[in-house]
Amino acid sequence: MIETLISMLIFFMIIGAIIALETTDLLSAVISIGAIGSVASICYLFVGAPDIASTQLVVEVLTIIILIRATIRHDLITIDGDREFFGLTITLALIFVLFLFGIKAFNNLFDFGNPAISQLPEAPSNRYLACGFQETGANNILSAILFDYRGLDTFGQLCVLFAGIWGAFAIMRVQSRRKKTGKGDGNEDR
Amino acid sequence: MKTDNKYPGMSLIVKNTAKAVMGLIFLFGIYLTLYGHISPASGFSGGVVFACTFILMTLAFGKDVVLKFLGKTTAYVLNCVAALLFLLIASLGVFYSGNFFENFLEKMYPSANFRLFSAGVIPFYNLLMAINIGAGLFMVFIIFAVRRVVDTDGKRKLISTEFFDIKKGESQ
Amino acid sequence: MIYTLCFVLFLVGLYGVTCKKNIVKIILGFLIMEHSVNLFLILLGWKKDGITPVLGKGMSSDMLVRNAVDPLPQAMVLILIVIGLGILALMVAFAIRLYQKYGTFDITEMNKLKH
Repeated sequence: MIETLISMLIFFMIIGAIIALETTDLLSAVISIGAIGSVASICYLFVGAPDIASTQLVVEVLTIIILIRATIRHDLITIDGDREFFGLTITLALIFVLFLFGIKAFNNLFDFGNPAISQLPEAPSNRYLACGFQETGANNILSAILFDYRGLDTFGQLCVLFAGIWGAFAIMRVQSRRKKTGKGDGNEDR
Repeated sequence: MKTDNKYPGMSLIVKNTAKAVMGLIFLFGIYLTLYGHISPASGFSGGVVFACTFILMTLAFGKDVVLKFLGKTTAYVLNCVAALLFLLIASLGVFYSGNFFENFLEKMYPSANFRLFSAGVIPFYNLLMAINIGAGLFMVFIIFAVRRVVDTDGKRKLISTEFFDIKKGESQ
Repeated sequence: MIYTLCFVLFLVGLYGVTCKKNIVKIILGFLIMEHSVNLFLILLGWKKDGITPVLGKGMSSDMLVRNAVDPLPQAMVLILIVIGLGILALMVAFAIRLYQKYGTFDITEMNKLKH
């Protein structure tokens, strides 16, 4: 039942992705990306991850705002069309080969609805679920994992986000640090 | 979208709706952050909701209004200080309990469960994460909103519209 | 079946990254790949008739072990989603700088080392 439902939702996502990549209007493409994210958030709701769903929905709104704000303002000529025919054919053939290998690989995974934690009793997730409440006092096991058991991963996330944001800030910098006189606003050789 | 100097931002309907909704969105962000350890929420989504509040304010009222509430320098300082405090609390676990990222408050003072201030240091981590993410994303949005590429006689320049008047074409 | 559909979504994103000329379309391709990977990791941890890994009042930990879905991929994906936003900001900043340098979003035009 739920497998059919999620298959249909992912099918909608694939259609949205193709529309987003093939349309000539950039605003329509960005809105299609928003539709993909919203459908993904509905999928998360069905498989028992409501906090991922809320985060995904909010992040999707911010993604659309950043993309629209950053790309629509520059008076765009819509560029469509792919690259030249030979390269396109080779790339599509390679993607098809990758698809065949992927089918081969995904047949070896556990079935949907029968994950690794129900077959391997010594999996770390079982210990987190069994002892997380007594050891950390947080009854949301996700918080216990994020900030106690796997705190170093969260710290790595913080570093990556910090580097990304300050990198974007440094790339978009207008004035050079050294005050130049008479040579414009220090904007030309970067 | 023509903006007036006296009333910058969007139209009257957008402004009134934003005024009514803004406080509720901020309250929802506070809820998501503080109840991160006892309900399906976390500091991550709370921080993004904080950023969305200020972005809504920017889009509705113009950037001058929002920069009075949360200046750019304040956002930088909040971003950095939250990250450093995160590291500080994590390394306090070394001194008190012997392990990095140890939940030392819960071990020293075990508290009643299902309360707002339970679970030791996890609420503080949630709060710091929300502050860090909210300030950082607001900072990025302000940078993207303020900078603009203009075409002046064949050469394109990236300018900052805070200190630059497009109509006059010169720095203020 | 359902994992293969996720992989098809990933391949659609890969097609966008490799075959498109417009740099905004390339960024959208990266976003599609990110969505597919997140969705795949979440679906990998789903247990049949699973519940959210949050302990309610009156529930014991044994019940959580028997019924809850895998919390570890959920925690990692929660981190991944927020990182994706930072990476998106970095990519958009690069795109704006390239537009300022070359005057176009077409990557086949960006073949000059010095403007």
